[in-house]
Amino acid sequence: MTKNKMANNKDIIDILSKITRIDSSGITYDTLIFEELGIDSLMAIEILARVEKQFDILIEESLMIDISTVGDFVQTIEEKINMGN
Amino acid sequence: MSEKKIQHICLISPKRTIWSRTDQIKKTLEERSKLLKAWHSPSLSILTIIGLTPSNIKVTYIDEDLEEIDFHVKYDIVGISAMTQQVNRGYEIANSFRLKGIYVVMGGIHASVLPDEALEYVDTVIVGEAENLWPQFIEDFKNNIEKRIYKKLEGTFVDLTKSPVPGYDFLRNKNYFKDPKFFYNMIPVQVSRGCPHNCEFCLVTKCYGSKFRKKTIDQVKVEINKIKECCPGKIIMFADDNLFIDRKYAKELLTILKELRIRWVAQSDISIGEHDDLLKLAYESGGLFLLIGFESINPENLKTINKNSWKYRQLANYSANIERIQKNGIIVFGSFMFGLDNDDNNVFNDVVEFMNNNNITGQLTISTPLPGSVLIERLKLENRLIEKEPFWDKCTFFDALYRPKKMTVDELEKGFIWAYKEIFNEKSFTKRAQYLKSMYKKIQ
Repeated sequence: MTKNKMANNKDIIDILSKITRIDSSGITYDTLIFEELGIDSLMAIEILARVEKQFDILIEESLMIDISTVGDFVQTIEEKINMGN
Repeated sequence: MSEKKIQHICLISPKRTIWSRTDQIKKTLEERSKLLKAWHSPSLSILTIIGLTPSNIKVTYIDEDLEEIDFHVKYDIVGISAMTQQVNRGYEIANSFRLKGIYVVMGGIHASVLPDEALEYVDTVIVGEAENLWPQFIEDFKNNIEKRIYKKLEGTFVDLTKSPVPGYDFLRNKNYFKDPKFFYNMIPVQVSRGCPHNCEFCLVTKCYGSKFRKKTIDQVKVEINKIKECCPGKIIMFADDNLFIDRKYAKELLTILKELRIRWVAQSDISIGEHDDLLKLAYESGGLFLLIGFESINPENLKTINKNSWKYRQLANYSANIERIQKNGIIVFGSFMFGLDNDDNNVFNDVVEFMNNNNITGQLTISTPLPGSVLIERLKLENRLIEKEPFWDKCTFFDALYRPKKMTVDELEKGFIWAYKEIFNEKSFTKRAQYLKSMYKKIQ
């Protein structure tokens, strides 16, 4: 199994928690990315860098623009990973 | 005479014009807002006033960007804090309450520089820093001896080590955070006041003095812990004009921030780029971006922007310092002004090229003659203001208010729109993001 196939939802939420410094217990699928986690287009870049590095994938930079919840983000990243990028 | 009872005070931040009042500029800014979402934070002036108000007085805080004012409530006092672009609305609000017999007091930067104007609309004006003046006003009001103007003694400034914790507790009562249109995504903290540079366009030195005054590190820690308790997860926005003037203090502060597990943003000058140790600590402590006022990349503009040409002397190091800051994981959010006296039609392309070459994002603004500034006085002497004062609601930083020397107003507005579109589009965003991602991957 390749490195990127081993990812799960928890890994992605852990990244969000690490970058936002918000405890992962406070992050659910319904949490709003911008309004509640404070992730704007600048913090999103740091998150994408970590996701790319950890899961060995590449993500379009504009991906975060239309994402509103953590659930949307997790789903999009999982799709990327499952597609083998 | 018996003491008057104060039961209920309403503190109001009047509605702002978020974007420009010029149709074409407004349209461009709104179209691009997806790539640069506006940051919203509560008024630190009002939170400070709440912190200074005795706890037995009920306080209502209305941010008119987020909620309507109910003019039927019978408050004992209405307090209004307004920046210049909000002040006309502030005067309307004052008028409505005074017609109902309610006492109105105004503070904030505009009323502080033009107290006589404000006194035409309100009962009392608080000039300058409120820490010592607001409690005095409250006492005087209770005793029916309130004055028209409260101001500090000439040459004295507030001792920030004695400042109370702003009323962050109050934010618990508000449920702005899930409104998709407006919410507070950043909470302001101010650790210092004062700036030595005295730039022509700016009021900071005039209002806060040139001496750098600061709170103790313990005070800051208490304030941030209070925010974490009341508004968990919010980004801390240091409202200081330059968080890193005192390097030793900054280092102590960043060391504490590292323990507090927050993300923060701040303003700085570009010379922070010469201090790798501070930058490393800034990233480790949760620093996200630094707003840096480059203002211009034209040497002639920078020579005259402040008396000691401090900004001009930094120009040669702009690119190297930007690179060092971003390599340490802190995004540079540059601030640039168009319409300065040496700006001609080339300025738009020059700034866009500079931002693209250095992979920075930022804010583009139009040079704005704020009342009380040295700039507005000079422009009046040169007969260059487009409109007669007051044009306060147009002081948005996105509207041309005076005739530039080396281009027409039309060229300034069109050039501004062009530059804005060049910086805020998906292609530029992608290029900057790819660069920053590569920086982050090296340090994560």
